[in-house]
Amino acid sequence: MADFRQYTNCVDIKDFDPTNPFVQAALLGLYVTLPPAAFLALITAAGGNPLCLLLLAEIYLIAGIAGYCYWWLFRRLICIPDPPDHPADKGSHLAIGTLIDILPPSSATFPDIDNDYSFGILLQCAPLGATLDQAAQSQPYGYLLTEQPVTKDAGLLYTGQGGVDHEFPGHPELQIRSQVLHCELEGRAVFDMFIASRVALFPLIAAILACEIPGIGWIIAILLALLGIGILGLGLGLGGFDGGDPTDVNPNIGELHRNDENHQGADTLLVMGHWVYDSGHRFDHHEAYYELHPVTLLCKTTPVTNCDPGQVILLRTQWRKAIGDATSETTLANQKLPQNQWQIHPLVDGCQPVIIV
Amino acid sequence: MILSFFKTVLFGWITAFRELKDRFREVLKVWKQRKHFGKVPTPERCVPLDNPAFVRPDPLIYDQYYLTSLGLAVTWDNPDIQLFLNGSPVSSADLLSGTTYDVVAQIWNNSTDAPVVGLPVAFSFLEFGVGTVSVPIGSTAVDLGVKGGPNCPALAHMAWTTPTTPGHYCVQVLLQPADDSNTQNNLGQENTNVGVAHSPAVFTWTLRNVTDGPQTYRFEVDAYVLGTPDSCDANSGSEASRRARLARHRRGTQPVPAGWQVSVSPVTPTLDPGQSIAITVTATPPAGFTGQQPLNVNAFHSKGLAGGVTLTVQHA
Repeated sequence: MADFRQYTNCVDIKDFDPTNPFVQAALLGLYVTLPPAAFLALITAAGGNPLCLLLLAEIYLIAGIAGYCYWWLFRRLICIPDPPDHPADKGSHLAIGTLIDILPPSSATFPDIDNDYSFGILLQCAPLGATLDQAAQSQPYGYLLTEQPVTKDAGLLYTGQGGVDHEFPGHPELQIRSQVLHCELEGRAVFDMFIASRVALFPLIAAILACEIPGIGWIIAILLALLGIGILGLGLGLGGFDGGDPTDVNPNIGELHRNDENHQGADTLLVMGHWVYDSGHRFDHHEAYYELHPVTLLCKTTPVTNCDPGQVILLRTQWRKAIGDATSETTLANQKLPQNQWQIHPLVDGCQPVIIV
Repeated sequence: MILSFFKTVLFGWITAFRELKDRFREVLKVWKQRKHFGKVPTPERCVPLDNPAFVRPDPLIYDQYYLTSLGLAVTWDNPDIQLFLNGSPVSSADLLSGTTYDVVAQIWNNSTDAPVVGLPVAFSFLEFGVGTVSVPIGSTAVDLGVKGGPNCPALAHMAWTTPTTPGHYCVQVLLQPADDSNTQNNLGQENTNVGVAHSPAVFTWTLRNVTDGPQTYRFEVDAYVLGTPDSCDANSGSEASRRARLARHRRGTQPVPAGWQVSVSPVTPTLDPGQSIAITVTATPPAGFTGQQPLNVNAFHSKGLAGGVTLTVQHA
């Protein structure tokens, strides 16, 4: 398996808290702030500097950011159990489909530290313009869009996600909206922010203590408070460096293509990933759907032309076998052997293994 | 500058504060008008992607054009293309007319993490020569594993019934993956002929200009043979060892042996687009020559390698 990026973890539905994430973050901020607040209150009551109480505001803000990041990373995604007839392969589900829309990190309309790379695919053999029912009934991947008991029984919103394969500005009637399977390649900006916000709390706690030192204590406290903000900014900045540079000399840098104005030309993608319900989309997109998140393997493949049920199931079996072979221990060990270190052609810059009879 | 500083301290900050306040209101307005948080679909058709989960295969075949672009010598007796008749390997220089052969292409993958399922492989044949017209034989699809794994190399089979017109033909195999980290190594060509040296051996083949402009051609002749790869040892996996193996395949390392006289006529033909010409290669072996001597004749024009043939001179 490719070295996919995963910073999130999904939660079982029994551990899921449907409360608004901002409320959850505010509460977590409060829990973190209460102990130093109690300490400061006692000191102030005993004649300490009351201005030191101002530090609590910064602690609360940063603890709130940490809380939001925690929700984002570890409480947002709900694990969808495997249906009996569609077991996951090493935790990942596989789907093939036509690329419909792309939501790269740079497409945010408002400053947004989420730098996941998202896209939607129209499941193989579902027609362009497919409704949720049509897409859910398509074989063999329609189950990925079918509402599951785990979220239905919990009363969670489920709308499916629509995507437009080509925009016609000023002519919305020409646009074709299809139900897509949402997929996300994870970026690490939120994770960086989570680390930074936790680190930033340390100088702030130190600032509380320093603030009570007579004389220069308040100066030290201000410096430490600024350091906390600086660390937070560092986390924000580090996350910004996560996106790839198109000029990198990396053979795996590629391009994804959507349909042209004739609704043709889009890439066909093979996607593997963890099947989850992203509860966050209830608040940001006012929609809710299942997705493959994180994507654990993505590659382009040839368009599927034969939608005979036997053929599409055979194709999935072939892909599973190919990926299984590619990630087997035997293959990984073979790839380290001298005869597999060629770069141009095995008969040109390779060597042949010694066969001991 | 000092005046400016005092102005800023006295009242300039008020102006700056107003500007900051306006900017904040602008941002707040955008915030309020947003349809939702987060990202929106991009209107771009083509979007770059750099993520370790995105894997790209590199299916390849012995591609003379690619190898030449790397400064390597090539043979047109392609090690990845083999013809079989009734299960027995046969030389492409010795084909019977109107006979069905099994053309087998050996395909490799230079990727360690991206297999290909249903890799399209197109077969075609051409009149013997350089730049001649390609005639499709057919297409098939193969599953190609990753480097070091099962199904690598993969074998693609195609039945080919040779034309009823007697003559020499060459075979091309083109890989057509949906994605490829190196698109330059997908065309393999088998282009050989055998001539008996009645002192000298004379070969004739067609050179055709397939470019969209006039071209002047020049020819390079060498005696390069691929040979058998070295046996692996404990150091074979190192980059230095790989480069040493590669060095033996550099162009010019296997010239025409001493005593041989090889001439190409015409020497530097100029052809208009679509124009073709007969090229004659005359190879005179040294006295007492016996056995076989392969000679690669590569044709170059201003854009690089135009093609080539491998001619084998035989003498009992």
